[in-house]
Amino acid sequence: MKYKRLLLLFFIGWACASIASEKVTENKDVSRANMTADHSKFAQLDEDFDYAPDVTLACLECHTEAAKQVHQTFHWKWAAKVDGVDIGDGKTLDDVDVGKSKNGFNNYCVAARGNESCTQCHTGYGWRNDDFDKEEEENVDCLVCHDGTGTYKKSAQMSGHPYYEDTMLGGILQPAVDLKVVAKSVGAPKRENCLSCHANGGGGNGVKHGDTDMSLVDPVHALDVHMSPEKLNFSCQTCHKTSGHEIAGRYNGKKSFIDHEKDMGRIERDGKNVSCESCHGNKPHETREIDNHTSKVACTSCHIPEMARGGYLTKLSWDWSTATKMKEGKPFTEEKVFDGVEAHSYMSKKGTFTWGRNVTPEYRWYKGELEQKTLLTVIDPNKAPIDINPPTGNYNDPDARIWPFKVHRGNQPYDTDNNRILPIKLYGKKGTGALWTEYDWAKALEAGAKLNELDEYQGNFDFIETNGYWPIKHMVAPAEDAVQCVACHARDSRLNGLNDFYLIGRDSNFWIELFGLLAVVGGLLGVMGHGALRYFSAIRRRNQHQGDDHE
Amino acid sequence: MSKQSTSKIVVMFKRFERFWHWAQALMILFLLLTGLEMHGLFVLFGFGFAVENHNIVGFIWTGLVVLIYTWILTTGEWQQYFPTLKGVEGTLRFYLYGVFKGEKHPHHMSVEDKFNPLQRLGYIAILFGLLPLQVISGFAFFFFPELRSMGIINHVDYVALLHTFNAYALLSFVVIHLYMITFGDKLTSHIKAMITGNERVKETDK
Repeated sequence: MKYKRLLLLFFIGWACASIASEKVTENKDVSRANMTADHSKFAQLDEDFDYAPDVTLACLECHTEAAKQVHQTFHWKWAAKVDGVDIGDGKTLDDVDVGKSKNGFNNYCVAARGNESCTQCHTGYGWRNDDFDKEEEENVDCLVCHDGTGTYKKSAQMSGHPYYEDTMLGGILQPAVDLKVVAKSVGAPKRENCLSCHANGGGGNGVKHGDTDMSLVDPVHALDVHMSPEKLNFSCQTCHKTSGHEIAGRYNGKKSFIDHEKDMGRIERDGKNVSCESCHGNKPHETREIDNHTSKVACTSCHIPEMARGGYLTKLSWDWSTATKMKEGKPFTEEKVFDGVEAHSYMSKKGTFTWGRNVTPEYRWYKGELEQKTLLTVIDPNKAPIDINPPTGNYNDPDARIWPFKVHRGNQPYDTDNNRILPIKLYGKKGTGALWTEYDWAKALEAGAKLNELDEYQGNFDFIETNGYWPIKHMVAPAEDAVQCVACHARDSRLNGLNDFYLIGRDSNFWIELFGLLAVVGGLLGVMGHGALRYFSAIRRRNQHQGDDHE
Repeated sequence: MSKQSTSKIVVMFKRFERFWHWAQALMILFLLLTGLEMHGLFVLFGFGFAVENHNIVGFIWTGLVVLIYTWILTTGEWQQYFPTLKGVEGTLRFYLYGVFKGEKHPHHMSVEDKFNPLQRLGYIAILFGLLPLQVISGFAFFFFPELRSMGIINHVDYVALLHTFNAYALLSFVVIHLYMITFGDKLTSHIKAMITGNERVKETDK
């Protein structure tokens, strides 16, 4: 009797404990767990700030090294050193700064330099032009990443400062920021901090990446098995490990992963290895047949069945050549429905777009790095479309895997004398040559070239087709939604175009198929013919025999 | 007495022989269906099921082939497969001409001499050529990831093409084989013999 009661008590205790512990994991905000400092209690932050850099100075009182650390990062420099930049005539340049701040380009707004409204997303304050002081510590914007209120927004007009006053922007009120409240709320970055910039690049939600949009702030499990609060509730930093403000990830000149092994806590791999395999290993399936794929096929190829699965559209193409058209002397826009969602299909400012969601990606060999072309790169106009940042690798490269990509198709201006891509001056007052004010290509390209120190430009331009490559790695779907075998292993294969290997179900040899056809169908026809002859000759013989009998 | 009295019923196909024949028939049929599905010719079981079970049945079949070879070698049945050109012409003439004229088959089946000269040639090619080649290429296919990491072969293409070629050849054999079993005394006597083991043969005068 006694034992029974004890056992019952023990069981109840265990049940309570397990329920309680479950609750804890449920409510745990992973990104902000286990902080030892409550910033709302700090006297330094209990100030009526009216200027955001003052908040930075307050942060630096305790976090003495933080600004110096940020100054070393890609988030701050917007450039990284790249070797082997092809400048034509077989010559290459090493140690070139490539990024948003200098020399880099894409097939969205082409280049940020000269368009300092783009610095809205810089982790600093006041990058208006080339005079911006990158050494000044108070210019670092701590709050855009560490704000915990969701009320801190950076202004394009003020080059990355927050809205100090209520501001109407495109008919929407941007309320003045309360810097005291924001400063007291700081903590480790949440998903919405990162996504406020990374989901909105290219001028809007979902425009650029194809796998990174605002749906990842609070994704359902079916959209992202790792980030969904329904289960694992990963923050961005769970994979993009951070240390001293350095964040693991791919950018110009940097690979996103070093190999395909598990990290197993090895510190030297921290910050260098943002790969699925760093946690899952490279043989994570229960069947050998599927594990066999991992030496040539990236996890993402099967486990991210489609791009832009969060409901929002992503931009698929952008043709600048049609921009500057006018209706009754005025710029205009046109809308169309793309995959059930209405979006701009034409803007006088920007040209013609196409969009999509739940889009099947394209597949390329990739080993974590992209060959970024620059504004200095000499292109061959006869080889359009120009690959801006093609992934590298092939079947024979043991480091390369087949990866899903969003390939953004562009048509953008280039210098027909020097065969280089031309940056465009977009924002600006009348007289600056800005395209979005004056709608004059010649002026906008001349101003853009000047601001990017492309002095060889003589005013001759044309448009050229380009491909921008976006590796797809977010929005990992539940296992049951993974890409089916026959999506690739069939004549009509997702991998059509990747032809440097034999793919079962897709590939065949003409002569062997012909042999098969002749041997099998020929055999069938042969025996049918033979059988028929046998049958009719037997009937004829029997009739003759009966005839003989009658005689 | 009438002419019928010169024939008798014998056990033509022994129990194990019948077992391996039918087991192999079923497995080859399954391997062909799953294999050709994987080759992208049709959808039947689903690709994943086809791959997994093609591999499993392939291994079981390999085991059976080893047993068959052992049986053929140890029972002396290998002599049945010993090729000869003598009588090939006559057999060919029968199939292409004589059969339409109501002639009798020039070869008389007996326990010691089950196959006509054409069958001997065909079966030796299939049993000792096609089958082992298919088993070996199947193994190379299955263990391709290992072979590649060992640096032995880098591409699976030739393995795949050989395996496909053999599969078509085997399917073609199955088609012709199914027709040829109608050449017994009656249309069904050969298939009956392969089920019961019993076949009526001519009494030989000794």
